[in-house]
Amino acid sequence: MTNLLLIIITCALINNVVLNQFLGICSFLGVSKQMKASASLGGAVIFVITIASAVASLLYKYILEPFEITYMKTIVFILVIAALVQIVEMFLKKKSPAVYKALGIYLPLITTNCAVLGVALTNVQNEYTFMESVIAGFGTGVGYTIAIVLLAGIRSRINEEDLPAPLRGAPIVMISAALMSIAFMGFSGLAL
Amino acid sequence: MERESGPDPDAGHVPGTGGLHESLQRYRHGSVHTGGPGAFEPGHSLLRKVIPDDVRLPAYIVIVASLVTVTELLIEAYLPSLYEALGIYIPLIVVNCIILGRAEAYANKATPGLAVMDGIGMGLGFTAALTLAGLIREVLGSGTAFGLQVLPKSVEPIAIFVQPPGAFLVFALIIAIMNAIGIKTRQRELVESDGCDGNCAACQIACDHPKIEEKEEEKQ
Repeated sequence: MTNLLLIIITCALINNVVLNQFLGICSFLGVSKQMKASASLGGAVIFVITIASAVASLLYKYILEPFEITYMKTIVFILVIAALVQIVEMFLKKKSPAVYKALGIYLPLITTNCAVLGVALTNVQNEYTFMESVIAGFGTGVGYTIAIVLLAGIRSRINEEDLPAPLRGAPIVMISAALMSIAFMGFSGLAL
Repeated sequence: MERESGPDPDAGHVPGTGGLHESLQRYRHGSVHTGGPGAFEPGHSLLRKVIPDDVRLPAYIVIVASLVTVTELLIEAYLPSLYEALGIYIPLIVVNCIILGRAEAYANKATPGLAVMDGIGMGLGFTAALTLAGLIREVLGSGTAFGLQVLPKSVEPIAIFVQPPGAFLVFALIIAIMNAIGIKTRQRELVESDGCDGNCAACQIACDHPKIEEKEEEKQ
């Protein structure tokens, strides 16, 4: 139990997927204009990452390893993720068209969100058990959501400011991300 | 990388900001990418008439994933030190937005020959951007360039640049400098990224500019 708790804190805060490992930057910068869309995307990513980690872990253990085709892991994992994203997309389109519209192109792009594939691959690398993989996936998704929601909050304030012209748009967002990253480095001081 | 030429200004810089900070490794990672789109795009281009439109994205991803797996195994066999340094960022080339972006935007319409050239061009641009960012980070963060000492030892390196925040900072500064140059010559990029900036005269220039470009294309 302590082990699982450690994994979740490590994945969400200490080794934050966006601010420390630079995975999932596309949507981190692209969607963080609006708080609501950010939170919805965060939710979708948590769901996809958690399920993808579970499925990937099972596939690796019961199909790839017994047949000694572990080198196929990248191909297998990306297909699992693509299928999952398709399901989430169909679900959101039906249940919550507003959120579906707000997320736009970034929803199908969860497939190419490096965070999702990254977690599936690191789980295998760290030789996590099934439960540990699921928890690591969930923790990473939470970390992603924390980062994107925080950035969305900062951006809504930055928009009001009078900035030097060259810094407007992408540069100031990245500087904000840099400051957030510095703040998150503080978590590595947690004595675990 | 020239911003207009990419499919998305944010696309594809994910491995660029990655954990590796030495310019040499950056350069090599970039080279892997140059080989990347260069090889993927003719694949998409050759198969564009065979693959049904509805399932083209999964099909593209499988092509990319297969080629990345081949590349990964080759690097692991012949360049173990590079394999160690790039780590998880090699398999993650599969989800590099540039590759899918170009497959969608260009390779599925073009002939294989043109697709190869486009892929090589994209890869070279990516390599250049990655190497530049890596070089800046390495010089400021550890006082070396490509592993050689360039700053005198008495200069204390700014360690933050080789740590994660440095990646964001360096990219922010590079884009800001590019913006500044762009604003001087024409106001175009700013208008694109930020909508109306209250400067109507400059905005007019920006709006006229694409037309000028179109006219030039017509002449050709």
